Amino acid sequence: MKDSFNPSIEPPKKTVTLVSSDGYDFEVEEEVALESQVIKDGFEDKAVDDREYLLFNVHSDTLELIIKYCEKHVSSRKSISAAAASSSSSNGEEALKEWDEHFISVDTNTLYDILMAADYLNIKSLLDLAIQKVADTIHGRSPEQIRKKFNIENDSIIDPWASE
Amino acid sequence: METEKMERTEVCTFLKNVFKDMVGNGNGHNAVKGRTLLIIAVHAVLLEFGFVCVDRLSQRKIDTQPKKEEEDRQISSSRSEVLETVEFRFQTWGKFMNVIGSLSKNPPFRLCLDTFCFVPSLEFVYLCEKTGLIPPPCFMRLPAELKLKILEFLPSANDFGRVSCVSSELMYLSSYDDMWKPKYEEELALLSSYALLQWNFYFEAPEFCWKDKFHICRTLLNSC
Repeated sequence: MKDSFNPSIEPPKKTVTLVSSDGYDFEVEEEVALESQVIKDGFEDKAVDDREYLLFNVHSDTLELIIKYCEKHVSSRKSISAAAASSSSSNGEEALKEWDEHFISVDTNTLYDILMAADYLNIKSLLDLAIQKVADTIHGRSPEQIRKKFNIENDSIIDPWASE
Repeated sequence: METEKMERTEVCTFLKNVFKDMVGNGNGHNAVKGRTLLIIAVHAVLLEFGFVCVDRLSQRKIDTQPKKEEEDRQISSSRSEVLETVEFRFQTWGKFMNVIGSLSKNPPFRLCLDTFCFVPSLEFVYLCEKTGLIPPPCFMRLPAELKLKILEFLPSANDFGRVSCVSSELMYLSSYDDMWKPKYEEELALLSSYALLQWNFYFEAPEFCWKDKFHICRTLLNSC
């Protein structure tokens, strides 16, 4: 599919600058930034030369991951729809799911960072992905195991599981 | 629950202020040992309760920060108006820190602190204060609506039960009734049409919340 893609015909890509909480600039393509609902909502009202977003809650390490995620999703969406148009069978969606699974297999701190950033930027698919990952960690664990895993203090007055 | 939570955050801000002073005084340039932080924390609690530091020999009031990297030490503290002194000794005993305090001639009391338990959180508060960082998110520090969302994503209703036993906050969150609706609908789909007809009354009844309906479904399924 990529062979038919000719960059010389395409208009120059519009970019948006995202600034992380620690002051790094990330220049991304417009459609990548528009994956974020928050950016999308106020996008048209902003002047073209003023498309800079200060993301006070997102650290550069996390922002890098988020941009990677958005870029992947934008590009694979394109290739999936292109495959559908040319009616050639593709396993694009499955491959994307696998990629997502690999993407979200990170350490806990990074996972929460991604979770908070996805919530802040309102990127629904990423938020769902991260939340599902945390929910999977809880699934099937006993209360004691959950407490240990998340370092939660037991302050319940009644513990109906204690007798079991 | 309310008051408990308030206390916990207050302790945290209290420590933050104590460590902020240290950072401000220039002590923060060197790495501060975890045990020293523990001593400082104990010390700060006493000062907070109206004690003042006095020099053991001259009995005069001194204004000092506890010295760093000194593990076996004595602090005399006294309540200024009563003029009775409490003497403190800190001893390191493996991973434990013994705090021995004695009031005048009374028998001493001993407090055994597990440094593995306290020091990481103290170091953490100190480091965050020193570097001006916001503490990294962890499960319990997530906003309530995200925690609710995570609970909603739990694949089985049995998980709700287990999560609600973990802590009072999670018990409160997992009792949020709208979460039970999809679980109830799942169970309902498993019920035979005969049972549905027979027990329809319960499922239509407005006085039952989703959670109750879920439990009725469960019970019916188990009895079938």
